[in-house]
Amino acid sequence: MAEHVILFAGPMGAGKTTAIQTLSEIDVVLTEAENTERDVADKPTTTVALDYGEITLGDDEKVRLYGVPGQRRFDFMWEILKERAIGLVLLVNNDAPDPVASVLEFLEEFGELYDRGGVVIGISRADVSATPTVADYADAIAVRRPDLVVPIFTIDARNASQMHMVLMTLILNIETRAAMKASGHLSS
Amino acid sequence: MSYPISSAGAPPVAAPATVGWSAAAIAVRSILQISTPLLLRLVPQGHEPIYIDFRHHAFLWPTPISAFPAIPLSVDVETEPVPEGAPPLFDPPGQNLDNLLWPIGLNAFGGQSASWLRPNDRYRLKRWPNFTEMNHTVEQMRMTALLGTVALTPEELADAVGADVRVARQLVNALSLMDILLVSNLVAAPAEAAPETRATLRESATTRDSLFSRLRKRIGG
Repeated sequence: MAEHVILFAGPMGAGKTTAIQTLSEIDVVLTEAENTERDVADKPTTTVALDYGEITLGDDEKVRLYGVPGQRRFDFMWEILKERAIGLVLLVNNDAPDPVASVLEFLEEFGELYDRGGVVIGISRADVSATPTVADYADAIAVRRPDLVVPIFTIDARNASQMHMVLMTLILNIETRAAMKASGHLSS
Repeated sequence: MSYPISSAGAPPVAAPATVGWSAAAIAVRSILQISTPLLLRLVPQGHEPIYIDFRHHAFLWPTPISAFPAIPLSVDVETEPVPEGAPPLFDPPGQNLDNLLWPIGLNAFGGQSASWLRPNDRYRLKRWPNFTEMNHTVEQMRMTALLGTVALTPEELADAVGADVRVARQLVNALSLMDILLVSNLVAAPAEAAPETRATLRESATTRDSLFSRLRKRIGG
């Protein structure tokens, strides 16, 4: 069975569970529990271990979608999952406190995927808070890695066509960089 | 020049109308390059005026952007300086200007390179366009992904993805108008993607065995 693991990460309340529910063709396995950090995200439950969904591409091929917990006390799960992952959809809610810093922090945590070009950023709730803009995020990321252009999109995690585009862009970016590397153009 | 919100200032300057979006694109590009606070009104024939406030990178148009006219018979272009401290032209935040520059750039210049682009330059992406808010094709996605990795001329870009060169030029025009491209000179810089590399990329982009192609077949797009 060929498997392609895609992670969905980001701070609590960014829409990771909803994004997987939107993309998955199966009922998503949800492992939620009472949210003990209501001051951070005002919702009754949050992901404590992981969410899981999948897309079947054929008899022996699946794209597996894992939502990793947003709270740092569960970051041991990040280590386990990112070893198997080919790509990361990093979601952040634009009306959270300092969402740009949050993105930079997650990119640091998932640096290996980031360096491979396997990251797409989705900004949720941009309709609620117009700033920071997509350009603000791009500028902040460019300070750290000016050579790496990370796709950044405003998203509504409930919107299937938007989430399909995000996933397709992630795969396209990974395969484009792999092709460049195979031709000897990229060293990393 | 009539604005939804009145702004005192110098009298507007009208440019001669031309067919299509080329004159509008040149006007927008010129204003963005000089970073002078100006207001712009574009009136595509048969449509409501489009108001652009460059200070806030925003525009106002009552028509949905999905109804953008690709080839209007004429587009009147008017500029007006903004006095220091003048209020926004319309209630903020308005619509993101990039969402307007994308279709203008794609439809201006009739498949030729924009007049401000030089034939000996290669282009690389500074940041991705926000495709969730813009009508785009899979071919444009492929070309954008490639420009995020390597600097190419429009001709090299078309070659690398197996696309019509006019389509590649339209994309580069739009990204350039949005000011999200880095420019390097073809003569001064070494070849970023040699013909054999482009052949590899073309094969990768068009092969049915790619995960992208299988996923696209499964979920559409």
